[in-house]
Amino acid sequence: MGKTTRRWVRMGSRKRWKRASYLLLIAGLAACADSEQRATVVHVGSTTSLYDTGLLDTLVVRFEAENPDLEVRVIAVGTGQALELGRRGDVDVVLTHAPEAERAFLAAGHGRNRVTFMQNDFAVAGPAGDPARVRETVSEALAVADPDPAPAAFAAIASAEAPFLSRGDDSGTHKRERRIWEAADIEPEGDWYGETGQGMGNTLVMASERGAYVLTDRATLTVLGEAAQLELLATGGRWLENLYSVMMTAAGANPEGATRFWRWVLGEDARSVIAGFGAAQFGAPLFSSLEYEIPDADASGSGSIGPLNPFQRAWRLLVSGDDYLWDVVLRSLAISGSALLLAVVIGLPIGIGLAFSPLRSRLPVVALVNTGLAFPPVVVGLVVYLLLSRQGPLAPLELLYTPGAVILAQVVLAGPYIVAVTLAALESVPPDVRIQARGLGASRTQALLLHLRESRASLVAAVAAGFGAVISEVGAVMIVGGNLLGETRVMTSAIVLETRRGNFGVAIALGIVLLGIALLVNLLLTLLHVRRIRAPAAA
Amino acid sequence: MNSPPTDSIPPEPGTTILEGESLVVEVRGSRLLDVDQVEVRGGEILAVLGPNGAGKSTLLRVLAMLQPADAGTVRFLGKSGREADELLRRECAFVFQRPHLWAGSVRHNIELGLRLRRAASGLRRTRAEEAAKQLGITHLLARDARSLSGGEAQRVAIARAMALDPSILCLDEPASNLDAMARTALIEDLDRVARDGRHATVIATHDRADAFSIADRVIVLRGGRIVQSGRPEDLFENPIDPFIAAVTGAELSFKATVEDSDEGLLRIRTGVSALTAVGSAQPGDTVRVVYRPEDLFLSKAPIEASPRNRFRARVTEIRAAGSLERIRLDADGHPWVAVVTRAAADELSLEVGTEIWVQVKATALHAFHA
Repeated sequence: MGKTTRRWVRMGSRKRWKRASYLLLIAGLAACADSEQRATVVHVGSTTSLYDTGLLDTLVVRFEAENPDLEVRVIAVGTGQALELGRRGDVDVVLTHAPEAERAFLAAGHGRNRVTFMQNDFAVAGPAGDPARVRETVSEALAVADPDPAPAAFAAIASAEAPFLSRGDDSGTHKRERRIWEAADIEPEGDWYGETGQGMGNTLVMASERGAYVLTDRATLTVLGEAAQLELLATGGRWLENLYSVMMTAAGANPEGATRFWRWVLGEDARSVIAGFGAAQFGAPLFSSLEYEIPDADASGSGSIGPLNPFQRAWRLLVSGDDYLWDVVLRSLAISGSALLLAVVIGLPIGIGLAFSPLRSRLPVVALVNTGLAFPPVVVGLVVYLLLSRQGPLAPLELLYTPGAVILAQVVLAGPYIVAVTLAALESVPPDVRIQARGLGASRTQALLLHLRESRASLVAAVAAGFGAVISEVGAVMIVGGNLLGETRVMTSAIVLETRRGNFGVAIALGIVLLGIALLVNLLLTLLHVRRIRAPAAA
Repeated sequence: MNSPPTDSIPPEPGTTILEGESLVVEVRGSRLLDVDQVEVRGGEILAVLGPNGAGKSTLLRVLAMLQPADAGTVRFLGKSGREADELLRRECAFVFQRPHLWAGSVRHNIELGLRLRRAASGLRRTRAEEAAKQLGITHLLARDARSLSGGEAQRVAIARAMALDPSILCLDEPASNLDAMARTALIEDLDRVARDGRHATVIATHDRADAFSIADRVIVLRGGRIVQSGRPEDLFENPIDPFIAAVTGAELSFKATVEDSDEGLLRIRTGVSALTAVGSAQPGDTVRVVYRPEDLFLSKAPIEASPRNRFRARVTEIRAAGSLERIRLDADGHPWVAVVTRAAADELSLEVGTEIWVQVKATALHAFHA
């Protein structure tokens, strides 16, 4: 595997290298700036469902109005990562919904003053046709007085091998999903089981596009409404009970602000916000408050931050040939390689055609290509998404959230680039080179090949730079690929996900591979450049 | 097409192999070329002479079908259109004014045309080495083509064309961009390789000495039109207007009789003067000798280690021509024209009537059959 990789890891771009340096610089500046803001800022790590529904925003606005000296910054991530952020002291308060993980967090001394203050429920949702007949299974379970239909519903999905999308992000919902599979005594694996690595809202939209089943919290499903064309198929019972807790972290930087926010969330104002939230829009509140007593805020409690060196972990992953890491790397290379190949197959003839057509007739196309070059990748992602989505004109291709979609987006990104550089490369050769070839007896095709041969150094450089551009792109990949594990999870989107999850080791390892690719490509470009300098054109 | 060029069409001396009729090329309304009738005969060397911008390159490219004409027909060996194009690609080799050498070695470049014709590697090798030998560049074969000087590159380009053993060889200003020495040497080599009788040669040049020293026939172009054509001597003897006289440089030539001939060096006599010139002729032949006025070197005293031709002359006229002075001279009744810088004229204190020494190299006097 290592050998294949080394052969592949040759390309990238100068830009990418620069971008990485900027990121490092920004990270450094951010670290410096952070310390000054600590006294007035409360960082809250929250499960995505609270954020996606809009409840958290509403709460924060009210809190800040009442506490003008404090600013709340919400980091909306899965529960697992929220707790990881808490353990590291990156957030002062966590809002989570995974009771067992929370208890473990407390037991390890990372948190204090946990109060389970709010609930709604999980639900199994799926496509309207319900091909796995989950609805029937649930009715049958209830008929035999089984109060917990969730495992039966999952079993029905697994035995039908109907598509199921897991969050796969270590969130509260994902943890619950794992528990239900365990309860059903099923180890889900196979083509039908996918992992998105994304938040609840995105996962629901993707499930809707793919006609997949999904475990969701009911609030997010309700809020997304029509955007997610999914039906609520199973709800109720112990397994689908969704309890939200709030607690302070031991390692947080602003314990005073944390205490004030924590106390406010448990107070009457927040209670009334929660009780009424969503009632007007959806007919019924999305969450309900629980009865609790506010414990004394315990300001002591020291969380121990374990010895952690993500760089060491990254190194170990790189040298040990970690399966996940290399799967993502090779997938990236395969996807971007295919995209590049297609872009070359399409872009090269267009570039050649342009180079050999009269100036006047080529101008409109060149303008179009230049516009394509200026397109932000995210916008390309959006356009491709709209084309491929269920309502889009290319829906019958069923490409969305497949490697094909990523390749398509990358072809759209790299295509104009390949056209532009082909044109420039061909024009870097004296204009009468084809006529001179004809003067030696070349056929038109031979003359064209001789012309291409003269510009091959520029062409190779261009293709290498194009590869760097597509392999380091993240926006479009996330939108059209969905970051599905084992399908569309590539290096850039995996770095985003692993950073959010707190798996910095994996993120750094992937970053090192990307930088390595950029470095090798730059070496290649430099070598080509040197060779051109050493062989100057005849006078 | 693309068969190896071993079966070249045998050139029948004198018969027309390539001709153009009513050729017109226009760019944005202005006529670059407007030629009623032009022909190239088997085995001959045809020079297309004219000032810059006269349409020489255009005529060559149109005849070789490397550039389409807006009107008119090109016929090669009786064929026209696509057939002629395909035949020409096989039978014609074209050397450009600024030849493009492809990335790679000199050998690679010389073999390129043969490679395009899918010639076997053995044939490619012998032909390339033969052509390189003819042009005196055997020592360059392994060199990177991009590292050559202008003169070397030009020779490689000509060798590359010769290696094809073409029925027709087109040379567009092959000696421009070269210094005087390299130029003379190249023209001499060209004269030798082009005169092997195996193919017709068309050479475009703005330099009359180049043209007259090797051409069998000359076409004079002005503003895209042919103003006169014929054997060099016809143009000297009967220039139809002052333009032709200026282009041919009729006053910069004289007739002489060959007294002795030795390996290209001719002992000639004109009036009372005996001179040494280059050219091929037999004793007793009448030749016309052309020279460039800038090749005459004037001095107050005779120069030691001087060239073959040295004689005294008297200044008969001095006329300013830009930063130069045009000096008319008389040497024992034989008129000469020289060009010197104004500074040199002052240094020599030239005045009408001044007696000075004139030196001119034998290779600056080109003799051809009158």
